Amino acid sequence: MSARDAVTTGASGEPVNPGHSARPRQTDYPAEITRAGEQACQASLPCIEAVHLYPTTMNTYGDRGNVAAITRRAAWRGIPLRWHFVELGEAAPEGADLVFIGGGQDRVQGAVAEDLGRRRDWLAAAAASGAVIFGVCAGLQLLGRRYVAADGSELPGLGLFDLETLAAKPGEWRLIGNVVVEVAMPAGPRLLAGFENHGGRTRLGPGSQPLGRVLLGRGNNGTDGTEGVRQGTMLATYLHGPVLPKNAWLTDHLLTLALTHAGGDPAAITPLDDSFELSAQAEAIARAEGDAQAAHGMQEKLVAVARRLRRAI
Amino acid sequence: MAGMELLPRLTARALASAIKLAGAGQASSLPGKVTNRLFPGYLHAHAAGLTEGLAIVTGTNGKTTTANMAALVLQDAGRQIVHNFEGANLLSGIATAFSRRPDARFALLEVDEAIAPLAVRCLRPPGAIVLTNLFRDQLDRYGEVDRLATGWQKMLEELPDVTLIANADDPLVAWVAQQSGRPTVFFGVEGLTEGAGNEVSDVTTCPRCATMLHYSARWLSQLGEYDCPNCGFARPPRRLWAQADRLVTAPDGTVTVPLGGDVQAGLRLRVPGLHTVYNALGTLALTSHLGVASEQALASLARYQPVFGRWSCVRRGQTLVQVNLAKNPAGMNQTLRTVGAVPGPKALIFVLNDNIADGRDISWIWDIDMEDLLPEAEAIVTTGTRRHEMALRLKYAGVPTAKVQTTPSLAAALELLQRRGQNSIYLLPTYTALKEVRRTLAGWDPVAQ
Repeated sequence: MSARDAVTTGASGEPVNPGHSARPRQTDYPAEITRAGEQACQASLPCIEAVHLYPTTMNTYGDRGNVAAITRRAAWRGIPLRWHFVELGEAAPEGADLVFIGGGQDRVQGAVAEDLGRRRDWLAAAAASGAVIFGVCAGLQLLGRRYVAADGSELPGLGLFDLETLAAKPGEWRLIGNVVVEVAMPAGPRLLAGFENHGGRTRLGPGSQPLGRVLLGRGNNGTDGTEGVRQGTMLATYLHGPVLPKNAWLTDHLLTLALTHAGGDPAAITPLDDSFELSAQAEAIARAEGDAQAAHGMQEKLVAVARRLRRAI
Repeated sequence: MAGMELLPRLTARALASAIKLAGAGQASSLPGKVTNRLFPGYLHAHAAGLTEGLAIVTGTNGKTTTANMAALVLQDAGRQIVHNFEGANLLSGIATAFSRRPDARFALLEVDEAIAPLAVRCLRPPGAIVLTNLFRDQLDRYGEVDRLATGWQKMLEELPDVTLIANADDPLVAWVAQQSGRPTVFFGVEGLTEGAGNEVSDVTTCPRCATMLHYSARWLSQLGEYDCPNCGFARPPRRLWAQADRLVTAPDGTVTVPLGGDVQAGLRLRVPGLHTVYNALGTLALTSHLGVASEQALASLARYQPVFGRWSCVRRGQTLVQVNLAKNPAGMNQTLRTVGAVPGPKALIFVLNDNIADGRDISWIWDIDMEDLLPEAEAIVTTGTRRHEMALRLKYAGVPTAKVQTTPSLAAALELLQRRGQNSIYLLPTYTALKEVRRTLAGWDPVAQ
């Protein structure tokens, strides 16, 4: 069974909009990155059923890197994993172990929000059963309660996370740049490095925990020091870059949860040689640090100039 | 020219000489930057002196090559032109170009796709605009491609008399051109049935009605034969095309391809790649609009030599290095495809920088179709400020990690490959890395193609 077949034949139930899925679709995935897992799923081992929602309409910031990270790190350990690529209006399979939603252009977000609204029960059931829901950027915003645009109009979200997002007000900058986040994990704090680029300011309600604490960069809203959100096995972040390849520990965390949901033994998530991943993460952290130092230097210069001016006056 | 302009011009020239003396490279942008700051009317005053008009080339990829090709054709035809020939395509680069040729009566300017609306307002209404394509590039600075298209639409509303030369194969470009209502010469390629099946594309939905576009063939990112099953928006009829299924690349890199439509002849180029054919088509349509006979334009194109960093080639002893700037997924995909088409063993050097002019956000390298397009290479070295991320990209594309090395400097990368006996090296830098490439290869012998 190929990845393309999995999208259509692996689905159960009626497509939300049969007219849409009948059209020839373009897949944005190199077959090679999904093939390895496909073959493994033929065996009798538990297979992770992974769904990428809107792979073509929401793929703006290197999201296929997240798919590659999940796919490769499962394949390197011989863990069967099958991707189902589900576009607007297409049916998604029941019993998914992992659902990923990436970031997209503003133009498509209305259509995506509408489509996602029809999948609310499906997603809520998946989350309740302990499946992984992983959102990046727009994925984070749409899983929250609502998104309020600059003109005051509201885009309803799914309400799976207790959060809401306000578009940048006139005069507010987009939050753009390298980010480093500290994430508390049972075995101790871990670092997450990536790049953020969002106008929306997200505030968490009491029902959701932040994913982590911003060390460098801006985070959910640029003011309260939070980044991302997590709630049970659901997790979302503004970080792209993409976030998973160079933060291998997070990929492994998601894989552990998904494998457990699929009925597999989490001990199968064995250590790998992560020297490339760690170097790339260290490089990203160093860049973020350099940016912070440059900004600090600029600030000091301005303060010095202001002082000199004041003295001159 | 008027006395009020002498001062800014002298300022820019003095700065240019000073920078050259100081060894800071090609001195193409900085003097203009200062001039812009000091003399806001400078561009406007110069543009007013262009009695024969102004043409601009804009879009994501192919601006520099298209503008350079068109400049060669126009200069061969005896025109006196102002031209920002080093890819310095912001206001500062344009100001610098004017300071070099204050007496020219026609300007052919390559303009950054995001600042085109501003540039047009600062200069004067252009008579012709070439729209090459709109791919994702520098998302951190420019936002998504939709926003650029909106900017172009607003710009064209204010230009009632402009003629457009537009790439029909790019749905967003075609839509902008059609929507503007301005006379348009569409160009494109014919005869291809596939090529970009897996590439990330930025225009997946119909620009008119947001339905998923249907492609009967897609050959380079979103370039292809498309139509909308809902509203009927489709690839517009072309006035000029290349029969790309009959494109022949000779062992020396020379490309020949038959043309159709307005020009019934063969196109001959010394620079490889389908993207180069697109650039030549834009050039032919533009120069023909400007009154140059197509036979004459074809003759000029046949002797076009790439500028540094756009498939330029240098040699030292046995080692041949080909340099091509690749700064976004569409450009890199096309580059990898072109490198892969050249027979023989080869080594690759990726130089990935994330400085402001490159775009701070390097997530674009994950949208490169490495999995399918990375050519068979004996060794790959990555360097630049984000060399480890590029190495990681290669690892996740399935390249054995033993084949990938990272070094902090380009000189070290070249040495490493030379020591390993690699004689055919493809060097693929991002924009700001070109400076280091130029410096490092300064003592090498240029190879004419």
